[in-house]
Amino acid sequence: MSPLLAIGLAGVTLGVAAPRILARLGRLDQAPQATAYLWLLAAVGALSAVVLAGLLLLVGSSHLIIDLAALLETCSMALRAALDAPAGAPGPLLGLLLLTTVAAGLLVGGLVAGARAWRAARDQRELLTLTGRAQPSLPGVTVLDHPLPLAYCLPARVRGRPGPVVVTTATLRQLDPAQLQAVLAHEHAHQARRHHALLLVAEALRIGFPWLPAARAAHSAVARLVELAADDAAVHHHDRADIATALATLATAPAPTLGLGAAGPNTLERIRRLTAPPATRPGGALLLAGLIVVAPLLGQLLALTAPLLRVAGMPVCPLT
Amino acid sequence: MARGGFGELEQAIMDVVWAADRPVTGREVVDQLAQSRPVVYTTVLTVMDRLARKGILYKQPAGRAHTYRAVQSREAYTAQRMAGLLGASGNPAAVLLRFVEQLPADQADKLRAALRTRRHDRAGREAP
Repeated sequence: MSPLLAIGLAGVTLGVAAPRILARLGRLDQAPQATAYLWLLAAVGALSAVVLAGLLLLVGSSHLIIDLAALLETCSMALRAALDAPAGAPGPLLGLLLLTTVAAGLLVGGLVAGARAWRAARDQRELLTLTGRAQPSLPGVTVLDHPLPLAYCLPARVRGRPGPVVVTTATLRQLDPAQLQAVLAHEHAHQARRHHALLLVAEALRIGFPWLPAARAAHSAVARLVELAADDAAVHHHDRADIATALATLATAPAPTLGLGAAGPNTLERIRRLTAPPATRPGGALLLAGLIVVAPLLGQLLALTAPLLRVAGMPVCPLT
Repeated sequence: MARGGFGELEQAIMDVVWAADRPVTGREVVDQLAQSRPVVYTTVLTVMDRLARKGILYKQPAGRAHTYRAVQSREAYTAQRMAGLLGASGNPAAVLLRFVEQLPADQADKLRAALRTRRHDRAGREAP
């Protein structure tokens, strides 16, 4: 198989097939954190396939293949045969287009998602500074006077200080102490496991690469999986029933002031999962999912490096 | 939230401004604050000017001094800053992770009904 074909196959597997398979393996929900990483890895791997294909097409132009041959101290004909890169008119142009698409997507996605997050963080810190209250009985928690029962957290700060966990007065009224502690454990799990960073990457990918199924699907999948992961972490030290009841109480609380957008479609599923935990372990499903993501990743790297290594030890052109 | 530097003073100043139902002078704010804490006049004015630069206070010349008033009421300010978090303006930013979102009314009713049935079932099993 030609290297270009192999890289293309790996790219399609990661970018199109992997998201479908990851979405269907229900037992992956038993390992939500690892699955979230696999989603992002699949999307990033699909992009790396586009980059490698672009490089290969670019190298196909005769000038660059001669340069590369000189670099490897080998013969350009042997190199061309090994790489099987299509030479001729559309190759380099198409290669350049692929590389530009990925670079532009990374730039736009990163900038838009980053700016949005930065602005929201700045607004929140200002809001908390001006209106947030500390509660002596709840260290590390900021209380906001607000009629909506909210609980949320900001990312852990860069300089190592924990970011704030915020609850509103309405939340304090509606939850008993055990339920509140369970909610706080859920939020602390988000911070400790860097879920904000995972979501930020997923959001940047979604914005930058709307044409890539893996990038399109990763965001909602990761958003859902980090909630499951935080629920699982909270279950370690708190009663399942407390988390489930807190979820139900806060999700069904009347929202008096604001017309809210789409509600989390995963709430009912989370409650079900907490009250009737599935007995199965992720086992084979996680192994399969890992294989589907990691094998094409390694494959595309090998597809490019193996021919280079092979010809690198071939100093003389066989035909001259 | 850990409040270093002027954060706490900013909050105290805004409490005074929001509580007043008219524009206030720096002197009035200082007098109010001085009832509960030691404050320095120039520090308070510096912080108020900074709040004005951030668009939270509106500063107006009045005679030889200035008066200040809040650009938005406390409620409006909170609601506006929460908009991003609540997803009212499209996608919430990845910087905020909410515990749970409120369900729409019909789904909330269904969930309440389901929980009631569940509790009823359990009560039924426990009391034969």
